[in-house]
Amino acid sequence: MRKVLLLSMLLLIVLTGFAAREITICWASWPPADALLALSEEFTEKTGIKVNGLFVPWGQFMDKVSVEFAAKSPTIDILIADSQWLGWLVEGNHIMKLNDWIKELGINLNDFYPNLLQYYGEYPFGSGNYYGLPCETDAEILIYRKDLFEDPKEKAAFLKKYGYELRPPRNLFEMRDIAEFFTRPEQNLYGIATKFSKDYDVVTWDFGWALWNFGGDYWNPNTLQVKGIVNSAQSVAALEFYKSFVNFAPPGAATYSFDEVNTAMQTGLVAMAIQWAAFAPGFVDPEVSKTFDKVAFMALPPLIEGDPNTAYVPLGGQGIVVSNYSDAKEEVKEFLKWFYTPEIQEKWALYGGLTSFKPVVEDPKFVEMYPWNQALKDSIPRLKDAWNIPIYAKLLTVTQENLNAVIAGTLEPREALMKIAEEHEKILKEAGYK
Amino acid sequence: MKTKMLSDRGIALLFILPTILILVFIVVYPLIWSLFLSFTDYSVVGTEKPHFIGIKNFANILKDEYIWLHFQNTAKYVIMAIAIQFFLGLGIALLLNREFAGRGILLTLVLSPMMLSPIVVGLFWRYILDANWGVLNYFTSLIGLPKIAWLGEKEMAMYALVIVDTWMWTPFMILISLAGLSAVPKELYEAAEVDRASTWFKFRHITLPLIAPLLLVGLLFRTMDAFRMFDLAWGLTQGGPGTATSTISIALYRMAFQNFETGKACAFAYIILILIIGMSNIYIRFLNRLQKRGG
Repeated sequence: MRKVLLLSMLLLIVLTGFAAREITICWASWPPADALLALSEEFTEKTGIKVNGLFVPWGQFMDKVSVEFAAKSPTIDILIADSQWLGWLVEGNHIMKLNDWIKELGINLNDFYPNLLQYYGEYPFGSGNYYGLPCETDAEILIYRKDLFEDPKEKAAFLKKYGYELRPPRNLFEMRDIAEFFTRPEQNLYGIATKFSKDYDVVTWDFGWALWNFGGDYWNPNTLQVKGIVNSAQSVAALEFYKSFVNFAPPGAATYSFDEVNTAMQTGLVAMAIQWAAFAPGFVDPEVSKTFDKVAFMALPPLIEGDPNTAYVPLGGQGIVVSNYSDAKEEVKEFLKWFYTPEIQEKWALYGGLTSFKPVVEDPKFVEMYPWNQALKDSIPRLKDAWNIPIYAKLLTVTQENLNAVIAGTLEPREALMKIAEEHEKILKEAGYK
Repeated sequence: MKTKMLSDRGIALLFILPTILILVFIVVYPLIWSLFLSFTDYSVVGTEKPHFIGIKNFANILKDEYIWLHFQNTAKYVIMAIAIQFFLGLGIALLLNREFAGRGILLTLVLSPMMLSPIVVGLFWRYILDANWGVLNYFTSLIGLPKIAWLGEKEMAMYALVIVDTWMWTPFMILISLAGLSAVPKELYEAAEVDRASTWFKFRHITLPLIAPLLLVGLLFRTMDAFRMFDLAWGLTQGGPGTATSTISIALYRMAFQNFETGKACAFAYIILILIIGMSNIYIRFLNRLQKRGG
């Protein structure tokens, strides 16, 4: 009897011990999440720590995280979080400050690009407090139809009309000329597809590209000034320029979000598309794209070629943050130690993850891995983000509605930006920022 | 040993106690708690406890021009959708209220849209109405009409929402109208036939007065439903373009689950609740008056 009892206790201890050796990663339900889970099998083999995926559709992702964190639930150990969530995650005390771990694990911060380290992890900006590390570094890139761009007849017609050669655009105005050139409704061909919709954050980030490169901004993050910035002459000019793309987009473009832009390019409806690099595999997949062998990728063009101050690219993607409520912190620590090594980051890139780990990105092999990696590499130092304060969602809602109204033709750019400025000032004031 | 037996009343109470407890836990408690929160600045994702701020949330909502814009959109949508569904539903019910071959199958097919999930209907119609790949534009292009950006233009988006809602919920009005029509005594029509009454006279003086109470109940349900409709519009337009189809339910969702203004959202929900109760009362009074007149 005693033997049976001892054996049962031993079994219980072993089972309990095994049960504790697992972590759960929460992310949106999309291909990079599956890739990370597949890569994590190597981690499990090496350490015996099982990695579970809690992948939630984009539409419910934030709801799920906020519910779990509001309940202080230990369900999530690692969260792969949007950069703009950083403020509410930190100020809600939901995630861990990682400075001590970074030191203890010997993670070299110089292996990350400073802008990305800041956007994905530092809160507040310039404080040196790191709550996250880059994981999936996404950037808006340009996808274009190389068959059309290289067609001698098209080239000759373009040269005749615009007085310069048809080529991948070197600045915003060339891009608009090309969009206009390829807009031929009678052939069911349009110049460009981009995300004009009010879904989630899409039009705000897509417009960011024009806004920042024209010298405008959504606000001054240091002084928190909005009026005079988001509605400045540069910002208005940027929105007028951005709105002009509607004329060269397919009908109904005001509703275009991720899927519509993908479909427009995959069905050959447009000559160019602005899309997040994370969606790039779908453009070269013969299973889903009619134009899989006709597309090329490049970084978004600047306003003025060669001027880094007019060459910003909207930042997407997510960083790794660690839940304060996790009861598997040691296991998480082991995961981070394993993940942030050149060997694993290279594998992450091969699995389709968008790494921004310098030793990998700057290795000549990186651009050979996938046809869009050069575009991503060119974009990384130029990436820029909008807000990451806890009330960002309120600022975003106002921005989305007004920008989308401009695209739909119900508001003029100046009027819309003035509304955004007034509403943002009010929101910041109510939240005690002013 | 003496056993104390439970009285009949005690046994009855014992049986309904679990239900009462569940109802208190899932209905009464949240109602009271949300009423309390509506007077606070609470945010579910924040670290702060709720602070009492009086009627500030209610005042801020009522003087917010954005909120009024959402009320206007909702009113536009409710009036258009309910009016069309009422007349269309009654008309189709009058056509179906006779015996003919295949009536049962036709009725089942006609009623099927309202058995679908609204979010699925919204997403399906988003594809059907797509300007480039949508089947609706494909068919209209066959007769030489230009592509219409149903969901991308301010004016069209509201009509699109009304069309989809009508497709989904007219069957409900058909069902209610049919129930009313089948209950009208045949003898009344026979008597009218003897008096050589016209079809319009029979409809105006026999059919309509007798089915009016039931139609009003149908209208009451549809109005309440349309007033708080969220999923269909969310799946179809997410309130866009701009704020063209943004209803009060969408505004409430954004307030509660995107901006996480929990206290303010509770206040807004109570304002909507009061409005719906007010409207329902108008309907119910009218219904009672009709019944008194009839009875």
